[in-house]
Amino acid sequence: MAKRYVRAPYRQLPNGQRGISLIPVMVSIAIFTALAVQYSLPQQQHRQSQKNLDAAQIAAAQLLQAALSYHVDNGVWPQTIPTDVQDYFSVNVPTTNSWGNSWQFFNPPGNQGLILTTQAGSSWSANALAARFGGIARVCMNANNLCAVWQNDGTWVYIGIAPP
Amino acid sequence: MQQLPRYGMPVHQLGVTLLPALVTVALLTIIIIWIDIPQQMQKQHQNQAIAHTNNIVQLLAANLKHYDENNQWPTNLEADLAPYLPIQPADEVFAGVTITTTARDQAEVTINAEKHAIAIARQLARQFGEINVDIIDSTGQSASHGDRVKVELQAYKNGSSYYLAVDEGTDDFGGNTHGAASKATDYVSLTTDINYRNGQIQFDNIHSGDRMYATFDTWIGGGTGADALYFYWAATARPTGEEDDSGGYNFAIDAYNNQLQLRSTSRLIYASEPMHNLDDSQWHNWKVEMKEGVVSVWRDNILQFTQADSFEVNNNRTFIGWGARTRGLNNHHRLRNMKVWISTNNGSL
Repeated sequence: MAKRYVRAPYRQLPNGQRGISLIPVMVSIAIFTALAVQYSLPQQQHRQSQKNLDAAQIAAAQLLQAALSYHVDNGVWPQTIPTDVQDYFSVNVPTTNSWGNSWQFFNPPGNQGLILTTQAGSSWSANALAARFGGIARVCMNANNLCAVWQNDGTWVYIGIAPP
Repeated sequence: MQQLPRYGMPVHQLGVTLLPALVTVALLTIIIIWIDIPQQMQKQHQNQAIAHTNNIVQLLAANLKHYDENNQWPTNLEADLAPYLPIQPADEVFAGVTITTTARDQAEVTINAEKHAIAIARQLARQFGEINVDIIDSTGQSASHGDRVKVELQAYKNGSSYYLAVDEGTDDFGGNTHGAASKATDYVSLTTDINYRNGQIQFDNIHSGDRMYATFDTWIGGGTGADALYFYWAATARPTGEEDDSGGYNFAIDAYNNQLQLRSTSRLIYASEPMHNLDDSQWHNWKVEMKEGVVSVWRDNILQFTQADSFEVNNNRTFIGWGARTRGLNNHHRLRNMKVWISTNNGSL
């Protein structure tokens, strides 16, 4: 009697349909995971940083605009946040930045303008935030000075505006 | 003898393929190249444009402040604007910016903005409201895809254009003193604490035109409490008291009657409620504006009153000045930082 092949139950799908081997699937998943780890996750972290920067930039712009309005109304610059500028906000005054540090006004001597300062979460964030304001902003190591020279390692951002 | 296929391998499969893996990698690469990277570049471009615009906004504001305080546009941007920029920009910020005086109270600022020209022009228009902004090419002609932004600056004071006609500080005073008035080291003394005196400091041949804006500081006190210090403009003669407008306007700080008063055409057209701190022996800043038939007065930046008046100022009325008077009571009446702006429509010096 001739031998007959007995199909193993898991070797081939019905109707001639080919199956997908586990190996390429695993390789694809491995590559995709590697790419995700190498690219996507840092991108997400980058986007989070950008969101923090966006929020800080908007808050700074609003505080500076409020300071200008205060100066127009009172002839002098505001001293404290939020007390002096709260009348110029329809919602709460941003008192802390995206990294949880406070915003402060500095009044340089004379009629030179106003400086808004805050501490960013890192020197990278500080430099990026200052860069968004162009040449009127600077990064320094310390608070409570006029930040005469840009210090890349600093975390304090100083943004200056001219008097109206 | 025919062999059974190896366990786990489909009958017709030729081998392990990396096709699905390659397709995955290709798709991911396309997404990154076509979508993500351009988005990042666009965001970076926007941030650069915003930073560039911030620079320009502050430079323009500093230019206007320089004109406001010096009555002329800056000639050396880096040096002249330094007093008005708390964070001094790097040299390259000034490198692409030029300013040209086009009229006494107007200037043209050109900014080499490169690829950010349109973004900057839009932002400036938003920031400064009625500012005249144009995009130009290297020849100075308007061009929608030019790389430069041209901004026409107009010096304003409280929303109107003026010429600065009187510009005094705290020493070395101009103008002519009369009567009891004298020029001291740090101020002009209009009267001292002697009874029955009057003194004036006057600037002649200034036609205020249809509007006028003045600021000055006064110190009143140190005597027995009277009478008044006054500011007059559009006058045809020199008034010797607060009740004399000499054909023009007279705004009086009257410590005897404890009130602010405004007169024109020999009429008292405004008198304030009693103010008992007018001779408190401290310096106070005053602003007086006449515009569109309304006179407004501020003390230490707080509006004291506005008064409509139909009196038409004409160019035959040329005396502007400050005076003070004592009678049976007295006070020191001192003055400094006197500045008067006259209308660019029809004022003249």
